[in-house]
Amino acid sequence: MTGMLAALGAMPHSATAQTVTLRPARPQRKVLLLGAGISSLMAAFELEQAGYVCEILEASHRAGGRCMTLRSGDIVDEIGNRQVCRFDDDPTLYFNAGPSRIPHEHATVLGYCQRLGVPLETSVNLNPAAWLQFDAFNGGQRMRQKQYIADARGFMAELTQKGLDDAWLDAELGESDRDLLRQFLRSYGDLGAGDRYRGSTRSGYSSGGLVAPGVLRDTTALKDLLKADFWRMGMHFAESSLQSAVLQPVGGMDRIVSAVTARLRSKPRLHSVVVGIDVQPDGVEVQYRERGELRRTRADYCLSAIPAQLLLGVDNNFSADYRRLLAGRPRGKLSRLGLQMRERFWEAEGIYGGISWTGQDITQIMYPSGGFGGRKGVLVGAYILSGEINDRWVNLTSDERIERALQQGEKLHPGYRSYFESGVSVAWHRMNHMLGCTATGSDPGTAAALRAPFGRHYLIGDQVANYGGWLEASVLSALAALQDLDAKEVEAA
Amino acid sequence: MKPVFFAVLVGVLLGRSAQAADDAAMLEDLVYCLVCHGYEAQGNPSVGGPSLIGIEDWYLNAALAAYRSGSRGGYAAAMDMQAAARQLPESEMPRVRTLLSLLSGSVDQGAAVADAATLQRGKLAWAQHCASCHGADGEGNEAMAAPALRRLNDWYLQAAWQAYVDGGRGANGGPAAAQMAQLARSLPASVDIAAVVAFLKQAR
Ligand SMILES: Cc1cc2nc3c(=O)[nH]c(=O)nc-3n(C[C@H](O)[C@H](O)[C@H](O)COP(=O)(O)OP(=O)(O)OC[C@H]3O[C@@H](n4cnc5c(N)ncnc54)[C@H](O)[C@@H]3O)c2cc1C
Ligand code: HEC
Ligand code: HEC
Repeated sequence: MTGMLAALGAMPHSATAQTVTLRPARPQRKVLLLGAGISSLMAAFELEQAGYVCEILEASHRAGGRCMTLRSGDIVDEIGNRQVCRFDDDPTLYFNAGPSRIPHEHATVLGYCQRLGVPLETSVNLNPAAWLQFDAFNGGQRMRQKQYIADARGFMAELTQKGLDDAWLDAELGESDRDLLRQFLRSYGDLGAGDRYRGSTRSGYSSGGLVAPGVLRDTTALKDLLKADFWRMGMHFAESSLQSAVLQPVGGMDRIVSAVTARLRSKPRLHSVVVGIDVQPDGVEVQYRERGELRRTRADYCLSAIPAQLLLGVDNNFSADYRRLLAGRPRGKLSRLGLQMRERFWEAEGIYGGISWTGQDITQIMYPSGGFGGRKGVLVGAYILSGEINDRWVNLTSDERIERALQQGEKLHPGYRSYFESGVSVAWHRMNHMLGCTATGSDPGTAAALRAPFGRHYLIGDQVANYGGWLEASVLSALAALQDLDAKEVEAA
Repeated sequence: MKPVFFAVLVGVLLGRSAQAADDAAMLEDLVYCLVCHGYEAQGNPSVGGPSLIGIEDWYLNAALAAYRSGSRGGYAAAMDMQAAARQLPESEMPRVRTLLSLLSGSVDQGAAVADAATLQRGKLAWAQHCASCHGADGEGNEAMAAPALRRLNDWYLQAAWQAYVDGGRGANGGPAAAQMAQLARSLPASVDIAAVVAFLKQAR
């Protein structure tokens, strides 16, 4: 228990796979799982292995929750923006509307992929050949990230070299290390004669290079580099858990959902909206409406992945304190948009996977990390992280969002619109049965208090983790609940 | 768990008459209203959807029309509701009313109770500034286009009041909304709205 909870607290830097070993269940012990998110599904998988009877209730038309991959014919149940995905009927043309990346440190999820036989491939997360584009920088023109990064590092190294103070160096480093530091800076910034930065092959040549002699690109002045907000986010985003390489299931993130569901004896009951939770001394009783009809069920324990913001609308007998904690969870906002393009034109620009960053509302364009050299492809045409932009974006119709994405994409890829075939958009803060998503990072005290079981009811999902917004956090929360449940069972036996 | 709620729905829906099947199908379609307003329409403070229990037909129509046209205003909560209203064809209104009549939860008010002095202050302020339009006990008055307020959640009353004061609500609305906004913005700061809300809570 301690190990697991510690891992939850320490997200995202837990690198060892957590497992849970449940003792064999007594006959007919039953667990209810509310909401078929990844946390519930993995919990059900473990519980069934140990002999528990499980029942999974899911409000929407599909299992998986935020772990959603859209393909031809799929429905997007966003309130006020219901859509059907009109991509070609081709399994390689998919769009991960929710999670798309599994960091190398998320060993528990990676472990489940292995156990469930979900094939993984690398996802090119960081691609210095991709573009950056900010209106206040470079006349609004796009620039390759590697060119920006080489110049930024070059000038920083030159500045540092100039500013090194001999007295400080002697005190801190001594003579031999002092020389090492100067060499480090030369290498770090690719400094030339006189420790000046005058451009670098790291930027890529403006012409020639392999056969004909290469011509270095002009440098961009440091004061201009500062004008691109690229350094605030895009330049460094891949230096924590999201480093390259990250992993992805071949064919879409929801392959994890289908693999675990296939192994379950009791499949999630869809269209079953939980409307009441009554926590009793020896079990939990739940009311739900399945296609409108009111039903009632009961189990020895209940694990709930229902988002906190919606759980408050479920009739319940939680304590006032517990309800206050639930009410304090913010409704996180995230939007993504998928575009089917008739040609993989970005590959002709030398971009194979990775992300371009822009100061426009779309924020990012993400390129597919599979199917290289094929004909068509699906881009993530917007992945909006800012709450302020998301507030505006959510109030556009999906057609308006697609129109803006095409307009803004034009600044990164001239002719962008001419490749467009079909698009689909998801604003998680307006999705039916979600109305928000867990934001990364939350108040540790609240998270810990929500993690503590309320009698035989456990709240699970990344919403109870210190570091939400990750599949790993969702799954670890479920395993922590199982460990506690197991201990309760031993006590009772 | 509310036994009344059970009896009504189990009786209506598990009877398996043709009518019951229709009702179930309707609840399935319209259940998205309850995602934001609480699954028994008791209100959901996290999403901001108020209780719809006991809402007057005329006000339900007026409110939905205002969201549909955009005249309710562009503040965040209104935009969530606008998306829902625009998804709902006007022809579905009778079904919405049936849906609401099938539910019999009670408004979710939270536990806090005000002291006697606060209640007295609220009562006086209510009589002086609000009762003329909203009725002596907050029961509403259709002739004044003023809805009942005592059936609403305390947190929603506060938020709705604030939306008028901030100008998000009422600015582009019809004469009724404009009148209420005018009142909210001209009310002396000494009037304690929290006390008025406390009074409404126990006027139910
Ligand atoms: C845009 C985006 C990008 C992300 N990127 C990544 C990434 O790259 N890598 C990563 O690891 N993670 C990522 N995440 C986070 C990841 O998606 C989540 O951590 C995880 O999917 C959450 O799973 P969960 O089980 O906690 O809950 P959810 O998936 O939220 O499941 C909750 C379920 O409850 C159901 N429900 C709601 N109300 C009721 C009710 N009344 N009755 C019954 N059921 C109900 C819902 O329909 C839903 O299925 C991303 C998330 C988003 C939105
Ligand atoms: C996306 C969430 C959401 C959905 C879905 C939703 N509502 Fe709302 N609703 C709200 C919010 C938030 C408010 C409060 C808005 C405000 O402050 O103006 C609201 C307000 C209302 C009001 C006005 C209440 C008042 O006292 O003025 C009515 C009536 C209403 N909703 C009815 C419905 C009906 C009927 C449905 C289903 C067709 C529905 N709502 C679906 C979120 C939602
Ligand atoms: C002159 C008549 C009038 C008076 C006086 C008045 N109101 Fe109103 N009020 C209205 C009308 C009309 C509406 C409906 C407006 C709309 O549709 O936006 C309303 C709406 C409201 C609402 C929003 C209800 C909802 O369901 O969203 C609140 C809250 C409210 N009034 C509070 C008050 C309070 C508190 C007072 C006294 C301080 C008060 N009103 C005095 C006419 C009045």
